[in-house]
Amino acid sequence: MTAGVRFGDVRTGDRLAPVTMPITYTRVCQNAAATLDWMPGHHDPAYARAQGQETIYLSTLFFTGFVDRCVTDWAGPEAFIRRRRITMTSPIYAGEPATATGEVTDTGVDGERGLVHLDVVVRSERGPCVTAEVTIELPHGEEM
Amino acid sequence: MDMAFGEAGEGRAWAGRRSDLRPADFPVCEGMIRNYCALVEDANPRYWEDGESPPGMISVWSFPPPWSPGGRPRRYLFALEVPLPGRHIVNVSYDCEYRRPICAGERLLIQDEVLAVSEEKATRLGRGHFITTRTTFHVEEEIVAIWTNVLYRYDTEEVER
Repeated sequence: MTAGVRFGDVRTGDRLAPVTMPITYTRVCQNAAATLDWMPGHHDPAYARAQGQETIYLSTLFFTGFVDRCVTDWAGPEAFIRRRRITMTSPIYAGEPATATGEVTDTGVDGERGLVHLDVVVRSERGPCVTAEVTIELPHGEEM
Repeated sequence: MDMAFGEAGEGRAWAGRRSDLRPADFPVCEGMIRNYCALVEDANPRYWEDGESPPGMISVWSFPPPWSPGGRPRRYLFALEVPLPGRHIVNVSYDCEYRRPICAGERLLIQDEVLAVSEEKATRLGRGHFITTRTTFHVEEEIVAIWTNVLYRYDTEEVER
């Protein structure tokens, strides 16, 4: 990750560096183990197909962390995730790449903290799969 | 998939029902934190060096281990306690507000509430109900995070026929 951004330098329209990760079967199973989400659609291909899916797919708690990682890779370790809203519109299956992109939509101030609002989209090769609205806090002052 | 089954009316009557405030099955711990960071390849030193839990994994602290010596573990989502006819679930949206960081060693207290159970709705996956839940995470008296979730509980068209 980078050293991050200074709140005073952040502007609406600033873009995050895209992050792409190959989603292997191993990664999807790792997803289940690391999150204790043993819903079978995340590790059993036959179950996933019976659900109407193509094969096993990433869980919500992959996307929460992946979105946050893309934001804090850009913002730096001083950033604190204050709120993140995500909507899943299409699964990302084992065998597909996941790519996150994002941009700053607004900024504001809350006391000693600067607020940065961002939109992040996670796509597979078939198109957008997850949309996220994220608000982070950054130190707001001369010293950083 | 382990979930409660029942008629739609029975499930819709769950709106407003709350769980007890319960301690998490285990404290926030560095091993789980590092496994999660490895999953999403997050190098943030707050998680690797300071023992802070990534916000993205807060729900993990509310889930039971898949087995415990005391018998059958409780269902990992309160939404699965809502009796409905659908045999499948898929998560639709996840909204979480974080009040402060939580760190290794802290033991969270957790309370769930069913906010709403929709009437039956058709989607590309089938027909079923949207269940909205809110989970509140506490450290002693302090609320540290609030998670609102929407899950779709459905049957595929093949099952219905």
